[in-house]
Amino acid sequence: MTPKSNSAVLRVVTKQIIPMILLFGLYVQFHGEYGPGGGFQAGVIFAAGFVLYALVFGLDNASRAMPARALFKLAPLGVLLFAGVGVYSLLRGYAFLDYTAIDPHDPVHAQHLGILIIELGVGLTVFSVLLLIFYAFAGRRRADSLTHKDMG
Amino acid sequence: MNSLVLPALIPLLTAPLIVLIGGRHRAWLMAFISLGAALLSVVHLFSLGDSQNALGGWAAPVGITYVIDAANRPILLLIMLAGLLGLLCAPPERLAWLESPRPAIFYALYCLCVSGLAGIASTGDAFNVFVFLEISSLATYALVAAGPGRKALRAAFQYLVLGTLGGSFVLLGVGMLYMATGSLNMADIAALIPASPLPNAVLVGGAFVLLGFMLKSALFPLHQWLPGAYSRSPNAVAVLLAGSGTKVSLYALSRIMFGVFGVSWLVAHQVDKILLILACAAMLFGSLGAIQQTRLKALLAWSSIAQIGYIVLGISTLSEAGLRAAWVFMLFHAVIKGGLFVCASGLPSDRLENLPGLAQRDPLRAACMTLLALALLGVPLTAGFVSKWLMLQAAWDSGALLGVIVFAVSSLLAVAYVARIVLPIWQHSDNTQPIITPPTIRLAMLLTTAAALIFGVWPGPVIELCQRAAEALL
Repeated sequence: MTPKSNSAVLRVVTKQIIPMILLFGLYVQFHGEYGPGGGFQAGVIFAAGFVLYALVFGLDNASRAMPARALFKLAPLGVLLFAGVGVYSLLRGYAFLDYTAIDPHDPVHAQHLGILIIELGVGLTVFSVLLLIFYAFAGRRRADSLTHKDMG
Repeated sequence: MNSLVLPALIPLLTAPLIVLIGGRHRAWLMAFISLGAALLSVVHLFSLGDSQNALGGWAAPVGITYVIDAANRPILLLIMLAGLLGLLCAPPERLAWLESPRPAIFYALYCLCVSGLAGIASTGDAFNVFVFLEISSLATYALVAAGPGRKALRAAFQYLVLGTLGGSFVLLGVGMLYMATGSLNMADIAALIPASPLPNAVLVGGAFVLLGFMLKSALFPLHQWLPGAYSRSPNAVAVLLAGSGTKVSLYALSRIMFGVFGVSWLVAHQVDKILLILACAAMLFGSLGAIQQTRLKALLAWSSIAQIGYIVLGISTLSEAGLRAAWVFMLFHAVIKGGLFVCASGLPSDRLENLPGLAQRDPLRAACMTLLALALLGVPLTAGFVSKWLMLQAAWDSGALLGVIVFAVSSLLAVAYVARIVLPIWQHSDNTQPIITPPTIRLAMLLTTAAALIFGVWPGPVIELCQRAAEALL
């Protein structure tokens, strides 16, 4: 996909907006246990930043910045991070996903930490899966070669 | 009691690991080991007795609980055995049409599907059932689409549309029940329903949930997705789906019926009569449909629609004997139909007109297929006879005369379609080129045939298991 527009205004504004989108995504991610937000919303916002980049600067540039190969690894990593917390608490003799296992001496702190880690997993997976879906649709003609080359 | 999550958790953890590590042979091995470990955890559950586990330490009704009792232990066992059986039919070289990295993703999806099915079977939370239903369904859509040929895509899309509809119905129904009772825990909802200020919301919610699960279990006339999904998907998926997919939905249907609404509510709203009529229609039209098929796997799929009718006939009696028969039928039919799909895998041609000569080309396969087809028919000394006999007894005792008559007619029709498989196999043909069957598929064929014969002679333990399941449900 080639850049749709050469408008300087569009490119300059986009370049300035993208860091703010990503920063807001991180805020929603790591402030989720106090305010509105969480991993899913943060993942969507973070992916939206890359989608905007791809729309203005083209898919090739976007997949150089965030290769599909990396996304294929990030998506399962997020799930593993989430389930890993559960398995850790199982191994420590607590119920599945009982965050107390992370810091038994300070259960409140453990709850904070637990929710942060699993939401990070959610955010990672949502971000990478959304972007992969976007790549697959945007580069439809090359979708086969893309997945083949990038995972093998 | 924390081990209650293991049957759903082990395959769920394996799926991302398979995607990360990749490689077709490694992926197959990992999936196999994972399902084997999950099977061991289910065996452990049998020694544990009835138990509950609150996830994350949050007690019911606030948190999600997993409930293991006599009713779902056999179902969990069935899921894992069907999963392993399917994997035996799908060593990586049998998925030659899938390019790298798709085989690895295929096995990851397979594990996700098993995990979703195990989750439906083990959770005691109505919303959690929906979540696991979606996990298994989404994985199944992609697995069906992985079948050889373009028609697999059409079958997958058809299943996607209808399956999503079923899932949405379940979600809508659970939402209504939540509105009426303020709870998502099944046992809690059951306790709150009689005093609910919104009996109509309970009624509509119940209708939606039951309809959703009827769609997912392909009860006539909601069966449209099943023939395509079974006959166009890779053989491993057909084995898994025929062995456990619809069975788990039927389990969820009965769990919601008896665990949430209770017999008096069901009788008051004539759910038993509706189910009886649908079961009769399924028995009749499923068998009629099977007779008309020209492809082996499509014939087996249509026969499954009739068999689902038999199982629902047992559930519709709302009696202990009926539920016991339904559970026995589910377990034995999984063995028989799973075995038949194993026998159908790796055939050079799926068309019935190419069956003649099979006895010369692959004697073992021909023998297993014949025995399993006779078991499907319900010939004495096979598992099929035991399940049909128990079902007939239960229907007779409950006074469902219509069910008994249609049962007999459908069984007669089954003779016609079983004959269409068995007779050509032993006919002479000029084509004597041997069929090369991989050892894993041979093993799977032998195991299912042996099970169908052994349980036909010695069904005692299974019947006792199912008796306890029926007692736990009612």
